[in-house]
Amino acid sequence: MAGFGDYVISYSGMLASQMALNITGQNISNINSPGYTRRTLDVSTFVYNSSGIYRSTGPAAAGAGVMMNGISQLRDPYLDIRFRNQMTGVGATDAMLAGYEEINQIINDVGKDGLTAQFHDLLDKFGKLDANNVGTAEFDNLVKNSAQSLCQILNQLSSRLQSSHEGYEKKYKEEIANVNSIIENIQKLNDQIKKSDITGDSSLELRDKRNVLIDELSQYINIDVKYTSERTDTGIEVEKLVITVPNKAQGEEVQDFTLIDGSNGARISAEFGAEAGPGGDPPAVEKTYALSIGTLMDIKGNPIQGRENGPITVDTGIYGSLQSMRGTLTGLGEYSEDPETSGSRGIPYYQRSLDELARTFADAMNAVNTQDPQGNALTVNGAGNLFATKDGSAQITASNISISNAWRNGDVHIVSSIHQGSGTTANDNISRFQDIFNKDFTFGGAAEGSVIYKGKLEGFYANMQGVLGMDYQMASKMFETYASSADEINNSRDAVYGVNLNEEGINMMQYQKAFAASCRMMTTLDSLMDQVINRMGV
Amino acid sequence: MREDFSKFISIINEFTSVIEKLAETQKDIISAASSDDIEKLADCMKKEQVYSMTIRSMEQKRIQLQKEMGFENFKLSEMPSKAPDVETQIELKNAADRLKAQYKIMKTASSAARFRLECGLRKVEQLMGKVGIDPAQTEMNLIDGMHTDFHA
Repeated sequence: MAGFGDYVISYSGMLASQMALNITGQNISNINSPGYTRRTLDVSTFVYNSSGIYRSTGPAAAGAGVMMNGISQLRDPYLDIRFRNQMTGVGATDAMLAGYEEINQIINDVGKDGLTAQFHDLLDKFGKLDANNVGTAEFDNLVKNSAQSLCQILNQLSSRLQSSHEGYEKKYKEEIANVNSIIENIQKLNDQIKKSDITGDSSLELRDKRNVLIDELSQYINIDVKYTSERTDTGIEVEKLVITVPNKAQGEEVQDFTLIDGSNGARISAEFGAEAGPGGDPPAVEKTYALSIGTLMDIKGNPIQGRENGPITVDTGIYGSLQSMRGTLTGLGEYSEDPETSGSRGIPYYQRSLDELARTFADAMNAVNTQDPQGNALTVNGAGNLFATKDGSAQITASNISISNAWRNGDVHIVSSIHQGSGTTANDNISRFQDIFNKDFTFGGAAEGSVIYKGKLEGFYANMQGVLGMDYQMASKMFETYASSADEINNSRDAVYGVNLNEEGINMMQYQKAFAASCRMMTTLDSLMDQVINRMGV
Repeated sequence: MREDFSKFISIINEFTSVIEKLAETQKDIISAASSDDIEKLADCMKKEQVYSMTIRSMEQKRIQLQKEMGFENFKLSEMPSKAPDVETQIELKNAADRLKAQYKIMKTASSAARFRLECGLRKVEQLMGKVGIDPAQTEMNLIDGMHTDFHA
């Protein structure tokens, strides 16, 4: 016989189907919303056991309908972890490539009128100082102008590398600010989610926003994301998100850095250096660009005692785009004193290489115009340094190389013969100048006895481009692998949490049928009730 | 000494070449796993085993040669500075640079292939769970030797 309890069973079925249809509608309407996670209604069988005299004593009980436990998001934490792991690699290699492309735009002069062409031009000008032309001001000027152009190209290359370094430093600062802004936003979201948890709100939109931010953060820095729980002051258990940065240092006491712990968060900073104060107090701080993670702070910015982090000192492994950017800003390659970091070649490596090239070239040219092949000082007219620094500093670099004032003024000129008083057509010293362009020079690194390159001057410049090409190719291949892997994992992830119209369409039909069936059940119960009330015993 | 260094450089170049092939195989593993091509995947696994064994044997050769040269336990980055002349030093440095670069590429491809396989295996486990098979139970059976060896 139908009782009023049976109406409740059907009614709960209608409500659940209606709610499931609403969720389907919400899923479909958000198919294009970025970061939206597909939702589903969590239901369970509703059973209640009454007590006392109204308690059912019969062995059969149909139950009390369906209970809506809540709405959950369809996510797979395993895929999230894998995706973020690959995105760290994508961020790291992408930043590496951006750095190499920037350097390539400056030093790559293949097919252009750059440094290589100017070396050829200068050699060509020496070739024209043949027996009939030595000693003439016209041809000396041709060499001088070509040498001046060469200096200007070196100055320009150095200046462009320096501007690129400065621009990159600015970008590095901006990226660190972006990371800190993401951390702050996640902190705020964690706080709001915690409050929602306490009031029983599932706060799914906030979780979607948080997931998007965590994905973004993973490109900048290698992170581990853990979901734990915490007990509030009122005794309610709520979810707590903890984000750590793996610490790759060795040792028993080594702990991971905590970036976010619920609504508390740390900030990332880098060492941008400082000038010394008056009288050297405080002392100057070197620009190392080293990353460090600050003390954990609460949402109001108050530091939490005992939750200090520290500098990221171990440069092994990939730490995302921030670490790669640091590599571009500091990488000295073989010029580094530290053999562990000599693998990274950034802007400073190319600046240093260019300086070495400028200095070697200038020293060789000056030596030929001031000394005989045995190293004795020349006493002929016009002997003297052809190249000097334009800022008066002691060491010639690519940024300060210039033709000397004495050569510019005519006090010094190209010495065509090392023999005093030889005829105006003697050109024995010219071939020594020409030899500079064809002989092998050895370029060393910082480590004792290490050699980077041995060969012609222009060959060293070509070697710089070759080294860049090799590094670029390596980063490019790594980027391709990381990107395709991340893309594939994202597709798998999308299949779990993305809205699929086919699935939603099937769900819609299923819930519609379930709703109609519950309505039909209600009608059936109604007719049973009608039978009992109006027609029984008539 | 120069001859020993030439041999050493040859080993390093061989290493680079095998690691390059290994990286290509890892990419093939990713593509086979993505297209659910079990046969291709099995082929790749066999190739991977061959390359791994080749690397192991080359590593033994390298250790032995370094010992004979008197540079036992020296790192690859330390070897160029021990070369008898500048030309050999540069040649070895360039070979070591290429090897390092290729190793990084291979490591990336290898970790991507591992992730891809793990994702695939997880999907299989989830499907097994859905049809009522406990993957742990299957693992037990394998340990008990009730299944044919896949690699046999």
